[in-house]
Amino acid sequence: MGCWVMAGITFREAARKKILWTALLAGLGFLALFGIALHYQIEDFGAHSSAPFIRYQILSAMLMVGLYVVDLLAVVMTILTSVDTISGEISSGTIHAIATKPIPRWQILIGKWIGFVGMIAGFVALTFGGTIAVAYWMGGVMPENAFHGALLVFLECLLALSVTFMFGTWFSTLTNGVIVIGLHGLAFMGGWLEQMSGFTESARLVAVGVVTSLIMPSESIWRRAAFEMQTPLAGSLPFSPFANVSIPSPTMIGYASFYLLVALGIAVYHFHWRDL
Amino acid sequence: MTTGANRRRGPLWLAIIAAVIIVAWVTLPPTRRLTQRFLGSLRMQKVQAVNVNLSSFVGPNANSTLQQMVTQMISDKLTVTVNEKAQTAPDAAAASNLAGFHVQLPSKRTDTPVLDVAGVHAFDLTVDRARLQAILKEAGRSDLSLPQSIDGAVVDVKIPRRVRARYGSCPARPSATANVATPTPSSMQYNDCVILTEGPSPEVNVPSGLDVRQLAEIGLELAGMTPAQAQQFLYTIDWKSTLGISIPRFMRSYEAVKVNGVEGTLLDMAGRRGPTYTLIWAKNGTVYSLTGFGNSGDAVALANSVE
Repeated sequence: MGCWVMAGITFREAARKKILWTALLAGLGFLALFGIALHYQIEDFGAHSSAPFIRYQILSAMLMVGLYVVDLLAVVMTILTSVDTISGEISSGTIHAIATKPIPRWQILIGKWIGFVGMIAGFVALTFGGTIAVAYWMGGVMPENAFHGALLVFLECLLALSVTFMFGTWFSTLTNGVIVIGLHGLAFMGGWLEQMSGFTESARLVAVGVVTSLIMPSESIWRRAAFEMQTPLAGSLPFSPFANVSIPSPTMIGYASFYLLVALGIAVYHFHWRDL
Repeated sequence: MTTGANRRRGPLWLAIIAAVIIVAWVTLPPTRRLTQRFLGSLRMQKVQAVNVNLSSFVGPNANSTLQQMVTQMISDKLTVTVNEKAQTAPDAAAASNLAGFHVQLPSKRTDTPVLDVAGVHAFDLTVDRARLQAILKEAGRSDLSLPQSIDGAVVDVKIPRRVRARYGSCPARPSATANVATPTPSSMQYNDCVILTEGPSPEVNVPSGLDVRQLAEIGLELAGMTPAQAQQFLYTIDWKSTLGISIPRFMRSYEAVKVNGVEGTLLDMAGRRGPTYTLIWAKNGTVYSLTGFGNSGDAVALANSVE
C-alpha cells in the first residue's frame, strides 16, 4: 500500500515540477524534427530514380536511427529526472518528513521507483510509438517486432533507473549523475567499438564490447532491440550502422535483468540501513 | 587506535584480495576457459561471412564483395572448410605455378607488376528459408515463393586460387581495417595504377529451388546499380563469376564492351576519389577484373592486350 502512495506522490510531484511536461515537449520536438527529415527525404526520392526497395531500405534506416535517438533520449531523461530523487531529498532533509511516517523505508524507495517506471513507460510509449507512427504514416515503413523492441528499450530505461537509485543512496546528486551518465557513456562506447569490429574484423574489439556490457549492459539491450526490429536484409548489409555484427544473446538480456534486480536490491538494502 | 587503523585498512585489503582473485581467475586455464565460455554465451553464435572475404581482392574504394552480401542474405550459419592464405609471387611463371593456371598479363604495360596469389576459399551455408523469403518480399519480389525443401539445405561455395597483378603506384593493399582507418585515395595520386585480377569462376552447388541469381541481382542493386543495370549486368556475365568481384561504391555509368572477342562490362566510377573504372569480363572459364585510376578510355585497349 505504502508503495502505491509513494508512487502516486512521485508522479504528482513530477507533474508539479514540470518534469512531465518538459519531457513531453522534448519528445514532441523530436517527433516534429523526425517528421520534417522524413518529408524532405521522401521529396528528394522524386528527383532520383531508385528501386522501391532501396527507398524502403533508406526509410527503414532513418526509422532505426530515429528509434535509436528515442532510446538515448529515454535513458538520458530517466537518469536526469531521477538523479535527485533519493540523494536530493537526503541532502535537503526532505526525506526526514517522509521517513518518519509509518511507511517502511523499502516501500518509500520502491514506491518512488514505481512512480518513475510509470513516467518512463508513458515517455517510451509516446516517443517510440510516435516515431513508428510518423514513419508509417509518411513513408509506409514499419520495424519488425516493434513491441519486442519497445519492451527492450523500456528495460534499458529501468536498468538506468535502478542504477541511478542505487548510487543515489550513496552519493550526492551531482556525483550520482556523473557516475551513471559515465557508465552509460562507457556502455555506448563499448557498443560502438563492438559494432566497428564488423568493419575491422577485430575479435579483440568484440571482447572489449562484451566486457564493457558486463560493467553496464544498457547499450547491449539496444543492440538486441535493433536486431529484433531490423529486417533480415537490413541486418545483413555490412555497411549499415546497426548491421548484425555481434548480437547480444538472450543470456545477455537475462544478465541485464539480473543486473537491474541486483542494483535495485542494493538500493533498497543500503537505503534501509544508511544514516539519513 | 589499532582498531581504527584496521578499519581504515579494511577496504585496501578487500581490493588487494579482489585483485588477486581476478588475476588468478584469468590466468588459470580452467577458469579462463570458463570465462571465455561465459563471455561467448553473451553474444549469439554467428560465424561472420567477413572472415572468408577475399580482402586481397577487394578493390580500392569498393563495397564488400558480392559473395559476402549474398552469403549474409542466405544465412547466418556459415562453416569455413578451406581458408588458404595469400602468397606473393616474384614473376608470372611463379604465379602460374602457385595458382595452377596460366597467368595472363597485359602486354601494354611494360613495368613489372606486384603479383599476389590468393588461396582457395571454401565454405558451406545452411539456407534459412524464412530469412530468404523475407528478403525477397522486401526487395519487391513477393511473387517468388521458395520451396519448403530448401530450408536447412546446404550451399557449397568454393572460390579457387586467383592472381592479382598491381602495376604502377597503387594505394596500400586494402584491408577491412584500412578501408575504415585510411583516407580514400585521390585518383590523381595513383594515375598510373592498374590492378588486374584473374582466376577460375567460383564453384557453387545450390539446392534446386534456390535462385542465387536473384540474390546477386538484389546485391548489385544494393551496391548502387539500377534494377535494369543489375539485370543487364548479370545477362552479360554468369552470376557465379560475379561472386568474387567487389562492386565499386561510386559507380557513375555502365556499358557493355567487347574484350578479346567476348562481352565485357565497363563500370565507370569517374569520381574525384578512388579508381576511375573497373572492367569485368570472362573468357574460357576465367574471370578477369581490371581496375584503374587513370583514363577509363584506356581500359578496353589494356584489357585486349592481356595474353
